[in-house]
Amino acid sequence: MTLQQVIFIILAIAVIGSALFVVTTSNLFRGALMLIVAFFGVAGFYVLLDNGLFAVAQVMIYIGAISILIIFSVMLTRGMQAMIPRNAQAGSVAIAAALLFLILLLAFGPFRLVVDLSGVPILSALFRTESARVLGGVPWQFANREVPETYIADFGRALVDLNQFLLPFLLVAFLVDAVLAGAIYIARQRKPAEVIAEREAIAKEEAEELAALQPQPTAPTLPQGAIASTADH
Amino acid sequence: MGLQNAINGIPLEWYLIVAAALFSIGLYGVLARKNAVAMLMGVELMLNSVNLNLLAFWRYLAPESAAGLAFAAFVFVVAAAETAVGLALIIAVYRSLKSVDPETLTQLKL
Amino acid sequence: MNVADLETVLPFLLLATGGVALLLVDLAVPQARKSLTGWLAFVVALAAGVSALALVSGKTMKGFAGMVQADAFAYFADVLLCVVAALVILLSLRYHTARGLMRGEFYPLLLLSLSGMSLAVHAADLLVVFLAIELLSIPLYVLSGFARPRLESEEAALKYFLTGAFASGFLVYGVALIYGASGTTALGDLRAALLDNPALTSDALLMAGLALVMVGLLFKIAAVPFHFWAPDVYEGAPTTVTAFMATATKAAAFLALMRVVAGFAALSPSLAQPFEVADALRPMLALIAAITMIVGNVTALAQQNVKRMLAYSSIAHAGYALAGVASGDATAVLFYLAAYAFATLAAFVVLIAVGSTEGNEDHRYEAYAGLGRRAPLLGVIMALAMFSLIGIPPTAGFVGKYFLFRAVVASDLTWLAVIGVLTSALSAAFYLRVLMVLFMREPETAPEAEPAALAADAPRMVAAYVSAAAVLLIGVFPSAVLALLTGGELVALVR
Repeated sequence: MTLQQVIFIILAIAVIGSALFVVTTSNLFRGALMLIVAFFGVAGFYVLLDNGLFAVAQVMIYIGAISILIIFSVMLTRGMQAMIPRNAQAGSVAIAAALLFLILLLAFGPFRLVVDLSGVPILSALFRTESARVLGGVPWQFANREVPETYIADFGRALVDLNQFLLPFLLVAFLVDAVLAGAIYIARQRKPAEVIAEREAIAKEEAEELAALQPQPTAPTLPQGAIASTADH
Repeated sequence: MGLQNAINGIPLEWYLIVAAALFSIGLYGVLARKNAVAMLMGVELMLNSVNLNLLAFWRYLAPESAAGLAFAAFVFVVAAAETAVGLALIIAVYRSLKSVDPETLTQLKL
Repeated sequence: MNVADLETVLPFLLLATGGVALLLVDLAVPQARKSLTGWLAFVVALAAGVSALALVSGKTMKGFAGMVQADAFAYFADVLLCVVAALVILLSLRYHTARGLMRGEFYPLLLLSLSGMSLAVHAADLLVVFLAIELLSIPLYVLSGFARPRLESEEAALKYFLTGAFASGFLVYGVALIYGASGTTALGDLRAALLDNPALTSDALLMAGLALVMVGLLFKIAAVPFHFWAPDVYEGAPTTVTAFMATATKAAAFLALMRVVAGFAALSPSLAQPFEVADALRPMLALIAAITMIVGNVTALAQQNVKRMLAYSSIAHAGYALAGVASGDATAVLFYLAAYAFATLAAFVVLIAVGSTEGNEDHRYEAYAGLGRRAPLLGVIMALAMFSLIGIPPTAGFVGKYFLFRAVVASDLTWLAVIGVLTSALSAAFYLRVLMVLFMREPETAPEAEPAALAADAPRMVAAYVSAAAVLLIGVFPSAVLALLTGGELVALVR
């Protein structure tokens, strides 16, 4: 057993164990902390995969930003730590999740190492994977194992290269714009008084417009009840 | 076939299996939890599993191409974007309701 | 920078840059004049629609290293999406004022969501499909919760977000597995790889990826059994947003689905049509279509609320369109989606007119009693919408269903067409119930809404006339629409 194999197994146990804790614990705060452990473990896998850039990005984005946001919201929405962690369908969901895992396991075909299934017609069809790997019609290059030293520069250029990933890059830029505007709109607290004042201003203007359109003695105005009913939150 | 496609003694399938486990656990988390923040944590686990897959494919199958890395980077952005909007919504609902359990949302049936 | 590349996604670029610019412009618009932002967004949406109309041709162009494809289907969908969005903007002006929602952020978010839809229909790469669906979804989550701090709107947004994020997880995991199995995310390369390498067509990793992608997309189009979120979200969201989701989002998600299905047609090519569907996928698609039609229509029958009934109606119609996908005829599906979109929009005109009156928004059937006699114009528009949704000539719905079922029968799925016809007959019960309430029933209490208030808003009436005219014109002159759709020649969804 190589050192890397040992590290892999330790990381795998840490990631899967903490992930299991995250989805089963009734204490959300501890769950959020274990989520950080899981994210760290995944960053460890990226190091094993010779990609320091993404290991750092994982730590900065998932732990530095996403986990912190999640911990903040756990603390901001206090009072649910005591709640029952699972809903009524948890049992059947667990079976479904386990089934999905088993199906994926079959798709990856690792059992060939242990059991020779080539005699079983249906299962052997499932295991015809490795030889068929293609890259744009060319078989996947298992031989070329070295990560180029310029991989970070190549990656950076690919993102802004018209012939590679410029369009998706543009797309996520607009996505982030939409998220900024949307999240601020949703999270901003509006005072009831502000809502009422705003609605009265608009109603007044509406009334003026209507009065200008059809000179009636009583221009319709907003009933008081409607204002109270929407502003009471 | 054995370990002949392994790097440092680790075959590609090991990563795929860990990622599949992480995805299934995340799926369980989204579907079985009652709390919206906990469900969001499940989604994050699912997206992490996708990135682990992509990085493993990049390393084992095409380290010379930036495609897998770029794909993974976009998943990072989407994960962060979803978290930001999701937590804003969760906090907004909590302010109105003092609870973020989708099943006790009173106005609508689930 | 190559101009031809930009041309392939011109509507997307116009909408997205327009949306971001509008976000800034809106800061200078005073709160009492937010309808100005709405009119600017209207202009941007129309400009994008006109650009798409100008670019329609029989040619298929690829851009951005094959990530996007500009063909007649995509431009037709662009035109449809932009017109629908422009009409929704017209409908929103008075409704948002009445409901206290006249906030400037609505319009930029609508345009950004629309830009995502436009890119989704142009997508020729699974990565772009995923990201475009994110770009269309995330602003929609916010728009569903736009009526905050009204609780039902916030809840709808949260539910939509949780199911949407879950579905995206499936979609992107599937795309990652497909990438690992085939080495590419481009649908055209994938097709070539499948044709070159027959061993790949039985690759378990690829199959697992395809199944996950299909689940993710079926969530987005709200097909049974992935539909459970739709009625709550549609009911809780502001009615303008519901109208937008039920029409534009559905059409965009369907075209993205068809592109993915066409990319995998080489799994087992069966039909010599421009858009093919693999034999391996057809039984699954046909089965889900049948269940969706049955469940959608039967559940719609039991609803006591018009808005919720329309939500189930949209699920049922996703079933019809999915039957078209199973048949492999993209033209019939897009035609059907256009007919469905305008009929549904016409129905929502009436709901939005009711919601635009002062007082609480009430969409129970009882609240509509006698409305057709108090406001005859709204009654006629609702009648047209319902006839079209049932599929009664000479409306668009009839021609749409005719083309659709013809395609389904032609692809040896006669049983599916029979289920479609039977459920259509069943659907008449709840669609006609709306008309009965509208025209025959007397209101239990004296109506508060003045007929003048119901019909007063000029932009809303323009939207009403346009959608009603579209329902009739598509029904009477279907060949004009078909000519636009096929651009004079047959087009392939994936090249």
